[in-house]
Amino acid sequence: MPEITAVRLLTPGQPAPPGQGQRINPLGTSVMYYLTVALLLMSAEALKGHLDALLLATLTGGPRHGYAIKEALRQGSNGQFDLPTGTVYPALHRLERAGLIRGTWSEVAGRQRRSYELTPAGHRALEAKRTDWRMFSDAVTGLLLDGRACPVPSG
Amino acid sequence: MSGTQRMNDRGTERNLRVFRGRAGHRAHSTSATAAGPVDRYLTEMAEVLVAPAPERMAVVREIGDGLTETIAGYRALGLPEEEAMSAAVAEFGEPRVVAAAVQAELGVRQARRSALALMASGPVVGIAWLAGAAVTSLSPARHQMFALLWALPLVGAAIIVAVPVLVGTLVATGRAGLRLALPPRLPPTAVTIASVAAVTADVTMLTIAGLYLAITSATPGWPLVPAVVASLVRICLATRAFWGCRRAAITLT
Repeated sequence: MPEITAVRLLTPGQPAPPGQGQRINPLGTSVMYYLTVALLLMSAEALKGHLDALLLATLTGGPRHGYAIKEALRQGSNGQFDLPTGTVYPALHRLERAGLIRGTWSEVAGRQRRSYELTPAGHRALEAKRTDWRMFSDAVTGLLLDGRACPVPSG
Repeated sequence: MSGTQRMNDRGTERNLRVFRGRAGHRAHSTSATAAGPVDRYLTEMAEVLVAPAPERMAVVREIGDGLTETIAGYRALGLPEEEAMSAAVAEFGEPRVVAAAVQAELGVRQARRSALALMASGPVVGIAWLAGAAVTSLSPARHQMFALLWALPLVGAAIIVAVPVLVGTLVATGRAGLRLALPPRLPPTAVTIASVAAVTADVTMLTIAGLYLAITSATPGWPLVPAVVASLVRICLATRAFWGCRRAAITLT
C-alpha cells in the first residue's frame, strides 16, 4: 500500500504554523482532526481494495513482471495511478500469498525475472470485483450525475 | 554489532552475489558503472530485511530486476546514464521505505508458513503419543502412577491456546485476510505464542514419559519411539518458528 505522504495533519494541541492564525475552538479542532484521520483511513482502505483489483486487472492479458505491471497501471489510468515501483512488489506478494496470482521465475536477458499470472481463483476474484464495481459506479453515477437524488416534483 | 546484524550483512553480500552473478543485470549491457547505485540500493534494502536467506535472496533478485528495468526505461527515453539511474532510484521509492513494505509481507509469510507447519505437526505428534500409550506396556493404570497424569492438563491448555491461534493466523493470512486490515506484526506474534504452547506440550509429554520410565524401571515399548522422535522434531520446528517470527515481529514494531 503506497504511503499517503502529501497530507500533513496537525495533532490537537499542536500550535498552528506561523501566519495561519490561532485556534479558537480546540474541541472543534480535535473533532475535525479525528474525523479527518478517520476519513483518511477509510480512503486508504478503499484504495487498498481497489489496488488489489487493479493489479489483478493488469494481468488479464497474460503474465507480467513487477515493473510491467506498474507501467500497465500507470498507462491504463492515464498517469493517475503512478505508484512508487517498490511498493508494487509487496502488493503482488500479498496477492500471491492469497492464491490469486502465481509467480514463476524465468531468465530474461541473462537475469532472473519473476512474472505473475492470474490463478483460477484470481480470475474469479477479479470478476467479482468487476461486478461490485459496476453496481457501485452505477449507484454513484445515478445519484451524482443523473440527478436521481433530487427528482423533479410532479404536479 | 549484533549476531543478527552480522548474519544479515553476510546475507546481503550473498544476495548481491546472486544478483550480480547468476542474474546479472541490465547494467552489464549498458555500462559497468550502473552497478553502483543498483548495488547500493539493494544493499541498503537487504540490510534491514529479516527473513530466511532464500526468501531474502528472491526479493532482492526481483527488486534488482525491476530497478534495472526502470533504468532501462529512462535510458530509452534518452536520459544520460547517471540521470537515468537517479531517476529510477527516486521512482522506486526510498530503499528503507520499500524494505519496510517488503518486510511486512515477509513477516506475514513467515508466520503463515510456520503456522501451517505447526498445525500439520499437531495431529502427527498427537496420534504418535496416543498410539504409543495405547500399545505400550507403560500404562499409568497398570503401574498405579496416576500422579504423572497431573501434568496432562498442561498439554490440554497448550492445545486450547495453540489451535485457535494457529487457525486464526491461517485464516487472517489467507484469502479472507485481504479484507482485513490487521497489523502486520500480529500474525508473527500469534505464531510465537502458538510455538511456546507447542513446546510446552511436547516437553510435558517427554517429561511424563521420561519420569515414568525412570520411576518404574520399565522397558519402553517400540511404539513410544515414534512419539518421542515426533515431539523432538516438533520442538525443533517450534523453536525455529518462535525465533523467526519473533525477529519478524520485532522488526515490524
